Amino acid sequence: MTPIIKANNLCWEINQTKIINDISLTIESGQVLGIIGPNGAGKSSLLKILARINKPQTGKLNLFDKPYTEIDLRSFAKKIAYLEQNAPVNWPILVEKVIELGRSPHQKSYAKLNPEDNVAIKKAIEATGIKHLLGRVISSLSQGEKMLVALSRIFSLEPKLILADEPTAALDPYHQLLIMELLQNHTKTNQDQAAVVVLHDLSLATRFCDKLLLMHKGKIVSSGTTESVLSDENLREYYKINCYSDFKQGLIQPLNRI
Amino acid sequence: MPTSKQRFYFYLLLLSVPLFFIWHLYSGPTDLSIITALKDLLNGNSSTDALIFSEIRLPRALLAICIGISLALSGAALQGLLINPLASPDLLGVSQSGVFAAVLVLYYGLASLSWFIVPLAAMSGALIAVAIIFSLAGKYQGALTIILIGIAINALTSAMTSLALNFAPNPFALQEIYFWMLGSLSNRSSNELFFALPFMMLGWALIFPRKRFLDAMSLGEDTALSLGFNLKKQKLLLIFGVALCTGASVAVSGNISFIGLMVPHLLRPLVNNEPGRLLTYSALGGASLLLLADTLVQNIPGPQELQVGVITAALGGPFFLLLIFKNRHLLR
Repeated sequence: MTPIIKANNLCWEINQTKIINDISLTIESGQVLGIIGPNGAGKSSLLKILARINKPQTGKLNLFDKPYTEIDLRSFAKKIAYLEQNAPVNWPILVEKVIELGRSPHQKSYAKLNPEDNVAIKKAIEATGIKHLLGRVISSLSQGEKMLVALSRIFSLEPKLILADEPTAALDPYHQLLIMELLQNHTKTNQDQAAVVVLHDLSLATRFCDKLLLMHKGKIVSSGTTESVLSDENLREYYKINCYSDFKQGLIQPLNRI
Repeated sequence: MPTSKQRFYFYLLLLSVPLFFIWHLYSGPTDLSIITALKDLLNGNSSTDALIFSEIRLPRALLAICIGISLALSGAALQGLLINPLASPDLLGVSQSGVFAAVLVLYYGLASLSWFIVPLAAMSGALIAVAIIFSLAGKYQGALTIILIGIAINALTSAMTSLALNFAPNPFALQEIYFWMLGSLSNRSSNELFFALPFMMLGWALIFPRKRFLDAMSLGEDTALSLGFNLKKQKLLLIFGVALCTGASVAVSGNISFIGLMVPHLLRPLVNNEPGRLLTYSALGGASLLLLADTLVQNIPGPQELQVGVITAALGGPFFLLLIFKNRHLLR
C-alpha cells in the first residue's frame, strides 16, 4: 500500500535558524503516529510543514505518491485535516457553524450544505457525542468541549489524515483520554485513515500511538515502536529526566531531572 | 441556520431600505411631487419637478444607498479579515488618505479643471493607502501590524490635511476642504453617481464571494489555509475590493465616518457573529442608515444644511458607546 505521506530530507529555516533539519518520514495508513520531544524541538513546525502551512526550503513531500506542489489546495484540504493547538475560534460563533466549516473543502463556492454534507456532519457529531452542545456559542464552552467541537469539525471533513497539534494540552484527564480514543478510533475503524499527533504526555503517547518519532533540535533522533523510542537512555539524553516506565500499563512517570 | 427572530430582523432591514429611499426622495429644500415628476419624466416633459427629481433627488438617494452599502461592506470585510471588531476604513486611514488627496487637489486649485479631478484624486489616495499598508506589513500581515500601520497613516494624513487647512489660500478653499473632511451628499449629480458606481460594483463583486473565506478566517489563518483557502489570493481580492469601495465612496462624498465601524458591529448579533453572513446584513444596514441620516440632515431646520458625516458621527458615537457598554462582557 502506498503511504499517505512520504517526506524526504525536509529542511525549514527562519532567519538562518534551522528549525527543521533534514527530516525524512513516512506516514502509513491505519496508525496513530506520535511526535514527541522537548519544547522547541520543532514538532509543531514539522506538523505545519506536513499540513502545507509552512513551506520547506528543501526536501520532497508526497501525498499518495504525488508531490504537494502538484496538488491544488482544495483537493489537498479534502484529504488532510489540521487541528491547531488550542483550536482557537476568533468570533463567538455557534458550535454548528464551526463544525459546518469543516465541510468547506467539499463545498462549491457559497452553496448551501447538501445532503451529503449534512450526513457527514451528523456522523461527526455522533462520533464525538456533542449533540448537547449544539446551539451554544463556542466561547461559552470549556477547553475540553472546544476540543471536541474542533474534532467534530475535522471528522465532518472525512479526511484521510488528521494532523493534531497537542490536542490534549490543558485538558482534564477525562477529556485527554476521550480525545485520544477518538483519534485512535478514527484510524482503526477505517484502515485507510491515519493520525499524526504531537504530544507532551508520554503516558498518552505509549498508550495510544502505534509508532513514535522523537525530535530534538529539529532532527528526528529516534523512531519506531513506543518501547524503543521511550527507552530510559532516550529519555535521559533528550528529555534530561529519569522516568519510571511500565509499558504494559501504558505508564511513563517522570521522576526527577538530571 | 437563522432563527425566526433573525429572519424577522433581516426582512425588517430589507424593508427599511425602500422605505427610507422613498422618504429620502421626498426630502429637500423645495416641495416636490414625486408623482408629477415621474409622470413628466415618462412623458418627456422637462418640468422643474422632473429636473429636480432626476438631477438632484434621485442621484442623491442612489448615492446614499451605494455609499452606505460600500462603507458598511468594507467595514464588515475588514473586521472579518483582520478578526478585529475595531477595523474599519476610517481607522486604517484609508478614508482619510482619500480625503487628503482630495484636499491637496482642492488646495492647489486643480479641482476647477474638471468635475472628476477631486473624486479621482480621492480614489487614488485610498488605493495608495491600502497599497502602503499592505506592502509595509509585507509577509507579517497579522491584524495588529496592519492596524498599527493604519493608525499611523491615519494620523499622518490627518495632520497633513490640517496643515493644508492651515495654509489654505482663500476662504472658499477652506470651506471646500472642510466639507470634504466631514462628508456630505449635497449637491451631487448623476455625474458623480456614474463615476463611482462601476468602482463600487467591482468592489462588491470582489467582497461578496469571499463569505466562506471570512467564515473560515474565524478559525485562524492556519486553519483557514488547511481548509483549502488560498490565503494570499483571497486576502488580496478582499483588500482590493475594500479599497475600491472606500475609495469610490470617499471620492464622491468625502469622509462619512462611523458607518464602516458601526453598522457591522450593530448587526453582528443578528448573524450569530458569523463574518460571512454579516456582509449581506451590513450592506443593507449601511444603505438604510445612510439614507436615514441623509434624510435627517435635509429635514433639520437651520441656516445651512448640516453635513451627513456630522449626523452619522453625532448619532453613531453615543449609540456605539451604549452598544459597547451593553456587550462589553462579550468583547475580549
